[in-house]
Amino acid sequence: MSKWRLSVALTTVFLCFIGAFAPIFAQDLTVSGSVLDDRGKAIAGVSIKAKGVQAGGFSDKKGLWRVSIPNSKAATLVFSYIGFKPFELKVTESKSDIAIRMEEDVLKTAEIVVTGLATGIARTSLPNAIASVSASELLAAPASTMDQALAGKFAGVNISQNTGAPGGGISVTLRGISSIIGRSQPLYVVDGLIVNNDAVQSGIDGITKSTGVGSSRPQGQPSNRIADLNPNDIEDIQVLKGASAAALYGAKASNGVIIVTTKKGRANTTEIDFTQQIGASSVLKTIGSRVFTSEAEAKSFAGDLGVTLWRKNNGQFFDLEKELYGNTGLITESSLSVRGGSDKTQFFVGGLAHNETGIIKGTGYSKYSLRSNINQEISENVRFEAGLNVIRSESDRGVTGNDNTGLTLGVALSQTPSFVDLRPVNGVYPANTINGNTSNPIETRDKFKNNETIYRFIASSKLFWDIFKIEGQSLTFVAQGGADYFTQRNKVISPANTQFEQGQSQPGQAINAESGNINSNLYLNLLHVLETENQLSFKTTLGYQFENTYRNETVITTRGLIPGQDNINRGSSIEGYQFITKQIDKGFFFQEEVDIKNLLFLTAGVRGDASSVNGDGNQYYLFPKGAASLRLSQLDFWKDISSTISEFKLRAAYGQTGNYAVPTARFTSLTSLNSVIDGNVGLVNQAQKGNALLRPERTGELEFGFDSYWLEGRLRLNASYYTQTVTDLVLQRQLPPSSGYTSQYDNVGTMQKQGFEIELGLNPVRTESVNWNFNVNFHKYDAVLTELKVPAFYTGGFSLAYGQYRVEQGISPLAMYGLDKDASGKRIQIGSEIPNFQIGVNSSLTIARSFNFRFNVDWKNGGSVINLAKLLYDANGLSPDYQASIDRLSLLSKGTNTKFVDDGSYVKLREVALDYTFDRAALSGFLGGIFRSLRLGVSGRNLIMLTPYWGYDPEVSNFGNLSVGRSVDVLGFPSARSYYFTLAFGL
Amino acid sequence: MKTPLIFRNGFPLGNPIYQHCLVAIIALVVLLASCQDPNFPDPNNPSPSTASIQNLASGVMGSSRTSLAFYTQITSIFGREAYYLDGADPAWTGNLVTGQVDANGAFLLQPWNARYATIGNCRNLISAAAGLSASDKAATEGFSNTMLAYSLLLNLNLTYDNGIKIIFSEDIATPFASRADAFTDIAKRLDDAYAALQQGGNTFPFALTKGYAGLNTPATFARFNRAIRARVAAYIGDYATVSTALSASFLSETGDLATGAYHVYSTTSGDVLNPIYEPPTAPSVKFLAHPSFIADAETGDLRVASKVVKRATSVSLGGLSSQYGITVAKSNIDPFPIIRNEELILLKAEVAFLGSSPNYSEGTRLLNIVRKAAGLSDLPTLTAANALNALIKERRYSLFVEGGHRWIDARRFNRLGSLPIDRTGDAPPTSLPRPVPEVPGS
Repeated sequence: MSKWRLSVALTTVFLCFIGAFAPIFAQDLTVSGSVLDDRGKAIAGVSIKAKGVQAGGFSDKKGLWRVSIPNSKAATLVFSYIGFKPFELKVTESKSDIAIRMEEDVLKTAEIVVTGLATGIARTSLPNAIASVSASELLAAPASTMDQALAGKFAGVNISQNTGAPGGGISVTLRGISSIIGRSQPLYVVDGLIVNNDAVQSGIDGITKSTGVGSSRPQGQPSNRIADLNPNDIEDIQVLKGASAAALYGAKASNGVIIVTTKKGRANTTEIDFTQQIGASSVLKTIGSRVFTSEAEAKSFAGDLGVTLWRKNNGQFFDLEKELYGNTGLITESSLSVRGGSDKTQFFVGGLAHNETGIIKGTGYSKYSLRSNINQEISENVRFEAGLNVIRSESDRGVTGNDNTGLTLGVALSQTPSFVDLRPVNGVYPANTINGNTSNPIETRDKFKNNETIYRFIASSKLFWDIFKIEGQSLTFVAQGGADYFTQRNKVISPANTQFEQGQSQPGQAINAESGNINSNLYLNLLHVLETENQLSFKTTLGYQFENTYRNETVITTRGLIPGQDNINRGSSIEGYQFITKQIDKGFFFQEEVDIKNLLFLTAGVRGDASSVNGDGNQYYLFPKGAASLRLSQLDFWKDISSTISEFKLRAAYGQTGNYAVPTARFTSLTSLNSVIDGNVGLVNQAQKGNALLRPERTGELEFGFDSYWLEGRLRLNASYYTQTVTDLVLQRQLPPSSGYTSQYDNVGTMQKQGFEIELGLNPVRTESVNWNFNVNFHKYDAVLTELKVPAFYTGGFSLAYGQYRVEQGISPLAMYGLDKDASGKRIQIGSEIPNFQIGVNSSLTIARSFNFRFNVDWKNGGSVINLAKLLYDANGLSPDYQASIDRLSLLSKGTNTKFVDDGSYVKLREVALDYTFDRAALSGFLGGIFRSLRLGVSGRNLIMLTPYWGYDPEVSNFGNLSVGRSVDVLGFPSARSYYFTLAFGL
Repeated sequence: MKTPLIFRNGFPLGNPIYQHCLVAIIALVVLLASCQDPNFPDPNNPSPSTASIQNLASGVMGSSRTSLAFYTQITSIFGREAYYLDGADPAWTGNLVTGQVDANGAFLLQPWNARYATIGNCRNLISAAAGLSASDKAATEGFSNTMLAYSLLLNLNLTYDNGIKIIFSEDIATPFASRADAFTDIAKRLDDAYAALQQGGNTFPFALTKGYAGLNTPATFARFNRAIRARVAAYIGDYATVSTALSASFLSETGDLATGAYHVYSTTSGDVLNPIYEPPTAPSVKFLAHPSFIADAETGDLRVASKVVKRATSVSLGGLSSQYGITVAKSNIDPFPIIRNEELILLKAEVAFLGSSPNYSEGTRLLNIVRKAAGLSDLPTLTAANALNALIKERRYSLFVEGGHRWIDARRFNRLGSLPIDRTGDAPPTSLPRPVPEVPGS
């Protein structure tokens, strides 16, 4: 019933407003002039809107503008342009030749930050700590994926890659862990559309046997699909870190929301920009291998075979690691964008061709993207925006990471002593049987294929309909919606003619996986704005939302494949797997925002969400929010210190968000997996028992903070403290296996988390010729499970002997345990994934408006990693620090794991870039002055990593993106550093 | 409300008619979108209520094979029948050989969980049988409880002195039954199942796999039940029961030693492959016979020739080394034995030697049946002094890598200490620890 009533109510609201008002006529007001920047240059495409009435326009190429305001005697015109502070002009009579000077908004005080599904306010009034980054800050150095480019740029935003494989696999956590088993990644909203960021498994686990196809804890380390976006299309990213800011997205937002706005067209100008990058990449850090000094040592290591191989290679050290990971990757990227338009229609078209090869021969990533955005003013009160993005991306990811067959490069490398030369001789790869090896990794590298191809279409649209607009009041209907569809095809081929396959019972394996994924959503919002004459403004939003997700995955594994063939019907047996993911969500939203004289800003709202993931899909769960900000610097008493502290705002916000379990959580079903026998389908219990009473978990966050601007904007200091309580925490609680089930999703806990963020921005030098900006951000947090209604259990990792996470009341959800026990026999904590703190430093120095030097440093202090890379090397007797490895293993055998749970601290120079820009004046004599700008630059990403970590990179996750259990290193794809040369020009 | 200044009839949505149409469209979209039922059934899997008796029975037989690979591999390592030389997981040459098996590791948890999952499937099958005719119900219960008891036995073989859970509850605090209580429980379940099979009519209401050829009616399946019962009784040392159970089993002194019950495999999609098969000529294999199996063998023992193959080079890892691949499974779809005639004859010999009234000539005669099949000469009549050694040796060669018989025998005859040790610090475990997920506060 409820859904019907709501629809009827919505309809009634619309009908009430329509036809209720009749037009009247009066005199028109016409004003015109020019608009210039602070250096006196004309700005084209500045948007001009009259307050409270339907009138406006854009400046033309020469910065000239003209606005007619019908039926009016007086009006306020607002001039706005991205990167500039808005300018307000009051007119009371028709006038021409008005020269407007717009001021550049270096500190982003005037930036409009999202506060509702259809609303936003200027940063100066914002009651939350919402971080944002613009296009130029985002891509200081080229990045192949958008999430990669975010690292180190915001306080409280941790970007960590799962694997160094080209094409990504990146985890983004906002303000640390907020769930144990629920989704761990933020919601990505691109131009109003929730886009898919899933990581769809390739099925490679079925060959490496790290786990089975369809496992709930896959280890294939695929890329997550936000990687498909073209970073060059992005105008601006806003990050809603905590529940208080993200509450407007309700039950899916407890990991925060990342709102991406793509570039839009500009009126009265056509700008063409072309950028060409050429780069190279190489391995960032290597492990090395034990150095054998004598034949006797080789003999004691591997007996007679050791001696044979030692003699064969004259005892030379063969650097297999360099052979495997020593490739120099080549990166090329071309991007072209055209933006332009008229008063009524603006368009943006962005194209990208990105190609890179990896540090392992045969690996690589390519992405081709075309985006077009159109804004159309249909009538004076109806505007429409549509965006279409078509993407093809492809990655060859090699075979790395965990394994139970000896196939992956890392595992084979950790098992092969350095006196063995495995290079092919006359095309024949020597069999690698020493030390229990089952594969020659060079052969595997050359013959094994692991390809992932994506075709993706993202279509988004927005309709703005000003139902009425009168002096001081307006009612707007905003519809946003769209669909995100992609198909993913994985082809994994392990040909029969390898040493590895000859050891299989049916040599020759291929996996053909296909999945079709569609996410569609529709938001319907009514926005009422009331502005009174005494500077009070009220914004009321009422909205309703639908979202559907559907994915159909099929994985076909063929075995006994004849050489040279990879069609599924060229093998002796076929194993099929199909899985459908279906989710239906609905939500409503109400919000009231009150702005009192630009001094006090208040907001309150509630969102209700229902989802098919919950036990009862029709049950709405409510998520309230409330926030307030007070600009103390607007008060009279502040005047005395306003020369020192020009802007000071106190803010407090509270909000609730939710997180869902997996879509399968409510089902108690049977499966036939591995139970077909003698021609009959056997049906068996799934290990997971369903829960028909499941609710979403609920994160409540209280955030306090202040934002301040000092010394005429030379210094910006923002600080936030937040405390979060996650109730109804969803856990995959362990059931004793003797019950016939091993797990069940349930709402069984409470987690408490608090932390603080500080952002310090300095502008120590700002002269006509030199401008230096320096920003530091700091984040620290802590979390503890305050309540757990089920017995404590271990999760993540593999086993206690290798280190695991423990879910227990009273301890951190990211605490690590192993074999170590105290005197009383109780296990003791041996590590924690939570870092002591994280600091990001960004600097940008511009000289003479043409020379620019930027860098970004990311420092993570603390945070443990379960280092099974080291354990594998140690156990196989091949660690470069062999003597130390003996001690470590001896400690392990005596029941202590501490040597294999390592400090994951690092300092990384994420980005560094140096470039020189010629402007139009400088280029006026060049090729007839056709160039608007020309930029030459060199840059690098991840050039330096300082870390005590034993292994490739402490930024690693064998199990991909998950909340608890990330920091486990099993010799995945090593990280790379990359260098670029850039040539860019604008016409 | 003030008078509106602007409300124009522009193109096209300014016109109230168009606006009403737009509202109607929006309302329609809202209605359609709301009509989808979010409480849809599982899009992937059937619910228990829709499964047929055949599906559930096949599920019991199918899931009985789950994690048999780990079970066979680790028990073969414990009993020093084999090594598994795989550097990808240090446990293979580490704590599985040193005997300190991880209480939360896959090698224990996977077989343990799989057996209790099968037990869950047996219970599903029993529930589903409620609506059947009396004889079908009895037959189904007899089948289910036999399979259930056998699954319990496999887990008890692992944790042994640490016991198992015989009450199947979601309460983790449910106590473990001691070894003795667990054996009693398993024996009783087998006896109850045997009684039920007597009431089970002529056929099962479902088809058994070809692995139960000759044992696939309630009357003949009862012989399989008695064979398992004999094994359980032998493990307890209750030789009177071994004897009576054997007499109702499928034991045949003149029959094929391979006759018995088997797990079966195929390459059909959804089916699984033989758990221990590796191509014997592959450049590298992982599951290798312990060198003592060859060193200790009598010359000409056909069991050695058929169960292991000498490889061109030896495989070594972590100080362990072997040149012998294991060929117990001849192909990836070779059936894997659950229990077979050869073991029953050996059990009968065990009763003769160790029963309350030993009969050494009878026992020797039975051992010689097995030896003859292996191409070996008859033993002279054994005595109290050498009979047990001879029995254990024949069991070792006859039941090589068929589910940890050597480890279990060494344990029940108190000979774990005499198993070969390759490296200082290695030792076979007596009992594996209680798995962490079964023990509160561990």
